[in-house]
Amino acid sequence: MPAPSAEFIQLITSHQSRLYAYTLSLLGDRQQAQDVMQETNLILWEKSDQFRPGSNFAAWMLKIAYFQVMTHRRRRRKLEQFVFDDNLLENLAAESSAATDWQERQQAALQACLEKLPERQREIVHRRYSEGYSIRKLAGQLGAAAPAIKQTLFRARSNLIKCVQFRLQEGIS
Amino acid sequence: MKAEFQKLLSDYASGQISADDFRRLQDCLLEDEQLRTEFLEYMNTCVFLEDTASYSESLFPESILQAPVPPPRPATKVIPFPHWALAAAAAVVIGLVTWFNLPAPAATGVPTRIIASNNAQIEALAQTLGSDDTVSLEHIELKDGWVRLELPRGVIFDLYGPAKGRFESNTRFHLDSGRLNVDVGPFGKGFTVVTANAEIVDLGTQFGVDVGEDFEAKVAVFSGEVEVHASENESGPRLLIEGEGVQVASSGRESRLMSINLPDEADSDSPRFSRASHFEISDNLGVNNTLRYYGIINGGMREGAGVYTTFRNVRWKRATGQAFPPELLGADLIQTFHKDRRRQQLTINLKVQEASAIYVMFDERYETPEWLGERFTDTGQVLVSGPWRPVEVVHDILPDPQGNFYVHHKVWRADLRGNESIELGESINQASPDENRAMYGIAIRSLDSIGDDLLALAQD
Repeated sequence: MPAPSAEFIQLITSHQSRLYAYTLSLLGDRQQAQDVMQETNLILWEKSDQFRPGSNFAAWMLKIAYFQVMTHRRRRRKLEQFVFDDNLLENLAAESSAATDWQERQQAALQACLEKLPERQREIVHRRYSEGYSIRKLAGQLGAAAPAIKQTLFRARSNLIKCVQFRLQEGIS
Repeated sequence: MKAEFQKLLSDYASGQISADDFRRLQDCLLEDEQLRTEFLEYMNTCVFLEDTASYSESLFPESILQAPVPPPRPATKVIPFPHWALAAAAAVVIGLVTWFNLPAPAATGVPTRIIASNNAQIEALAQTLGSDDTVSLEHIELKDGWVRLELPRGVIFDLYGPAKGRFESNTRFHLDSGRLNVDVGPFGKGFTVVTANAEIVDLGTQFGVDVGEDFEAKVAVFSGEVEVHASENESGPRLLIEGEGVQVASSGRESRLMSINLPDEADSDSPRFSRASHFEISDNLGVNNTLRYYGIINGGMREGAGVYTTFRNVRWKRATGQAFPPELLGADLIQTFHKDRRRQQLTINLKVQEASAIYVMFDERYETPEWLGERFTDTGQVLVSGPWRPVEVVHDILPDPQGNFYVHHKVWRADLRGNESIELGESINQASPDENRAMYGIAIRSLDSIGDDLLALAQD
C-alpha cells in the first residue's frame, strides 16, 4: 500500500468532526458513532490510493461511512430497537452529504456566535462541553433544577444554530 | 421548532431518548424534510461544540473560564476510594492474622452474603462462616485484612481492616473507622454511608470512604456520582463525579482530596493498596477550581496502564518497533487530569522522601516548555498514549493502519535527592494556545530501584 499523500493526510484529519457528526446523527449513540468512525478511518487509509486529488473528499468519506453505518446497523438491529428506518437513514445520509460545505464554514461563524450568547447560556455551554459536567452536576453547581439546565442548553444550541445560519446566509464569517 | 420536536431532538442528542420517543422522532423526520434539516444542523452543532469546546477553551471568554463555582446547595461531601480488586485483596489477606467479629444476628440486622475469592481463606478469617453463607449483620469489626459482602439490592461492600461500623438499615451503613468501597450496582441507588461528619449518598456509582483515627472522612468517586453532605457545611450537599474526591475534617470543613492510591489493574494479584508512598503530590488548584484527585498506582507503570484518572481508554503503550522504556517499567505511575492540558498557571509540586527519578512524558509534537527544558533531561525514549477519540487532541495526527490515533510522548527525567521537591508547569503553550497537545504524564521511582531492576532486565 503506497504512503498517503500530504494532501490526503490533511483531508482525513481535518474532516474528523464532520465524520463524527454524520455517524452520530445516523446512529444516535456516541460509542457506536466512534466505532464506525474508526472503521471508516481504516477504510479511508486502505483506499487512500483510490482518492483523486481535487475531487470531493467529504462526499467520498461520507459514502464510505454510510456503508459502514449500514453494516454496523445490521449487526446492532438484533440487539436494540433504536435504529432508524431504512428510508429515513437514506434520506438523512443524502441530505447530510449534500450540505457539503456547511460544516467547513461554520467554525468561524460558531466562534463568533458563542461570544454573542447570553452569559448564562455561555457559561452552561462551557461547563457542559468543555468541563464535561453532567446535567445533574451543573444543576448542583448553579443551584438550578436539572430540567431548567437541560432547557437552557437546548436554547443555547438553538440560538447558536440560528446565529450560524444567519451569518452564513449573510456571508459574515 | 415545535416544543415536542425540541424535546425529542434534545433527548436523542444526549443519548437518553426512550423507545416511544424514538419512534415519534422517526415519524417526524420521515414526514418533514425541514425537520430533517433542523435535525442534522442540531446534531452538527452538538458535535462541533463537543469537539471544539473540548480542546479550545479559547472560544470562551476568560471571564467564563475563571468564573468561580457558585455556592452549591447545602451539601455533604463524599470521599471515594479505589475499588480494590477482589483478588488483590485476597492476596493481602494471606499471612495476616485477622479477626472477624460477627455478633449474633440481631432481629434488626441486615441480611448479608459473604463473598470471597477463596473459601479456605474465609473460613480462616471468620472461623465459623464460609463463602456464600448468609448472615444477619448489625455490627462489623474487622481487625485486619478484608471482607467482601453482598447486601440487599445487590450492593457490593468491601471493608478493609482495621475497620469498625454498623448497619443502620439495609441501605445505610455507619462507618466508625477504616476503609470501605461500595459498588451499588443497578439497583442500589441511594445507598448511604454515614460517618461522624458526613453522609455520602450514592446516586448510582462506585465510591470509597476512608475514616481515619482523627475521624477525618475521605471520599473518592470511581464511577458515577455521589452526593456528600458534610455536617458543618451550610452551603449544602456537594455532588462529586468520577475522578473527584473530598475530605471532611472532624470540624466538618471540606477540602480537596489531592491524591489516592489505586489498585494496579494489570496485576490482579497486586497487594498494592497501601496509601504509603515515597512521595507527595500537590498542585496550586483549590477546591473551587477542581475536585479531581491524582490517581497513584504504586509500581503500576507498564504497557496498558491508564494515563489519566478519567479518560480510561487512553493507555500508555510502547512506540511501534520499540520496547517499553526499561527504566519506566514498574515505576510508580501518577495519573494526571486530561483536561489540565488547557489549564493556565498550573503548578504541580512533587516532593520525594528518598532519592528518586521523576519522569515526565510530554507530547512530542510541540515546543518544549521552559520548566521542562531547564530541570529535566530528554532521555531519548518515547512512549505513546492512546487510542484517542479521533476528534479531540489528535486533529493533526494520522490514524494508524488500524484506524486508531496515538500521541507520541518524549520521556524526560530529573533526579531528586531525598526530601527534595520539584515543580512541574503547564502543558499548554500560552504563546500557541490553539495547539491541541495531550496533558503530560508523570512517573516516579526511587534511584535505588533503578539499578536493581535494570540489572534484572538485562539478565532476563
